[in-house]
Amino acid sequence: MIEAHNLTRRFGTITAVSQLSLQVPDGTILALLGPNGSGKTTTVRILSGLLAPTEGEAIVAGYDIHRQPDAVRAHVGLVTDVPGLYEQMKVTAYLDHFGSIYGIPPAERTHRIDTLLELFELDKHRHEKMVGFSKGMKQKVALARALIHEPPVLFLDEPTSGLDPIAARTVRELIVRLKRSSRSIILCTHDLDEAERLADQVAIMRQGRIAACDTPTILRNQATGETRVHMEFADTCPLPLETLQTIPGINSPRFIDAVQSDSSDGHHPSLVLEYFAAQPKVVNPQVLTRLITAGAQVISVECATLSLEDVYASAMGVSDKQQTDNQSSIDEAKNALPAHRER
Amino acid sequence: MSAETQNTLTHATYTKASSLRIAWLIAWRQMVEAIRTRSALVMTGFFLVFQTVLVWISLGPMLQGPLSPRGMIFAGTFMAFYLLFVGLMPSTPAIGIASGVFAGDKERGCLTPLLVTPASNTAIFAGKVLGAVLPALAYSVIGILVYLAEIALLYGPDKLALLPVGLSLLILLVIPALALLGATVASLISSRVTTFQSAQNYSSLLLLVLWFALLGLVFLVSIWGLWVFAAVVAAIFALDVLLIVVGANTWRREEVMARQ
Repeated sequence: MIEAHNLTRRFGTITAVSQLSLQVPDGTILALLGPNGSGKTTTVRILSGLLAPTEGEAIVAGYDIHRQPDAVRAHVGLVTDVPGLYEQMKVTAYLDHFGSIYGIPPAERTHRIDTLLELFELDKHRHEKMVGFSKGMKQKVALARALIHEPPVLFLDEPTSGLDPIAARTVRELIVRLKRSSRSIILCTHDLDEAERLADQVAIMRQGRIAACDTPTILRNQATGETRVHMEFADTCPLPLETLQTIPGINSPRFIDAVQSDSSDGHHPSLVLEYFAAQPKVVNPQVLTRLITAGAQVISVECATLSLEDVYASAMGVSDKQQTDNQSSIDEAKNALPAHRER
Repeated sequence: MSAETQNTLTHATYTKASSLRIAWLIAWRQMVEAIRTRSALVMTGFFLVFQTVLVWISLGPMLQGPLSPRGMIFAGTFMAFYLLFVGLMPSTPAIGIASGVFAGDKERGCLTPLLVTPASNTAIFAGKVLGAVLPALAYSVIGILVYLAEIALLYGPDKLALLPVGLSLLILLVIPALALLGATVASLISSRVTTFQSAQNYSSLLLLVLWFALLGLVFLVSIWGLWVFAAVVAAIFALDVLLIVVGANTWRREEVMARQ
């Protein structure tokens, strides 16, 4: 269990973490999302007993980070994006070294090392020096090191950073297994997909503060509470936007393919309609009825809730307009590329 | 995952090892890593070959053949000076090693896993410094043994008796005192800078100061005699202890993390 209240950490005049509060129950994963410098790593360092907070309190695995930092460190495991191994050592000797520092009795240490090597599928490499290991294997050793003393709390600071997709998947599977063993896990990541797949809760950090924190589903719903609807037509939409805006419950309707479908006579055929609706089950039938009555040939209707990426961008202060502009710029660049080639 | 593995993914509480044991574990690991450092091994090997050739060229003509009483005193003083030289020269790479104990490990990411253990600040600092000093001393012992063996083998064991006892004993004491001083200060520098490069730069400066101090020491001995030398050796040891105590009591893992 991790419980933090109003944690603040200042480095001189810079506030790295500000008034941060969070709770991670046993058997759950909290993903900390945020850009570089948003305070994720500082948060992890505070909670793992490496840095004292300037203000605030936290209890980690039942120990107070102010009064019992040694006990906190004895009950947490930390993995960073850099495995940080003594690479000239063999895996078993390396794990044994850390096991000794944690005070694990020799017989238990040996058993524990065997178990971890089996868990991480490293038993075949037990007599090899780690210098020849791949990044994925080194990261597995780092995870094994973090688990050698069987900590109830784990901090994983970008553990899949720099790993190839297969190695990253293996590490993610291991993280899920660790969660099932009733550990409280904080996972710092830039990978939104990873956060969405692994985490029970997602906290989005911005400038040292938690901008949003909840389950991925609730975060998505909280962002706007609306569903985005894309309606595609075989031909131009027969109703103008002004008419569509009169339908109760329809929000921000617009045609999103006008530029791409620019015709030679200056008429912009409206092939895709986008709008938002808080109650799509009520609004969509009304919109469809009005359109079909007006002679629209609807090819498809697609409803999408916001992705975690949208929520993240929203929390980061990137507006929907900016996202659209960015996407338009990308689309324009993509469109310009073949034209340029043709010239 | 097997049922056995699944069962072991529980939580445990272990009694923390004593600070002394943790310091020794860290020191031992540090020493093994230092000894495995190829550049340090190459430099030590070079010094051993260099000193062997130097002794052979410079002491050879003096020690071959019969010596007059005045010649014996001169040869003995010369041999003692070489003893100081061969004892300290191989420990030079160890100062480079010491400058990497914190800053180098931090750059390689090896320091954080150690700092997140329940080991106390004192245990970590003491272990790191001890781990830097031990290779320096080991290299010094090797250098001295090779030197004495060379004299015994090339010019006869009786020539070892030419070494002035008092001066030689003080030299054998000043070697670890200076090696300890160099390694401790280099470790302190390493723990207070952000990059290995900075640590090496400052340590090079330290090395320069140490060599000048050594020359001054030789000069003092030749003028003021052994008592002054003994006092200087005692003062260096006192300084070593003071630095280690101050370093261990002021070093904080937090500062290391805060500088990252």
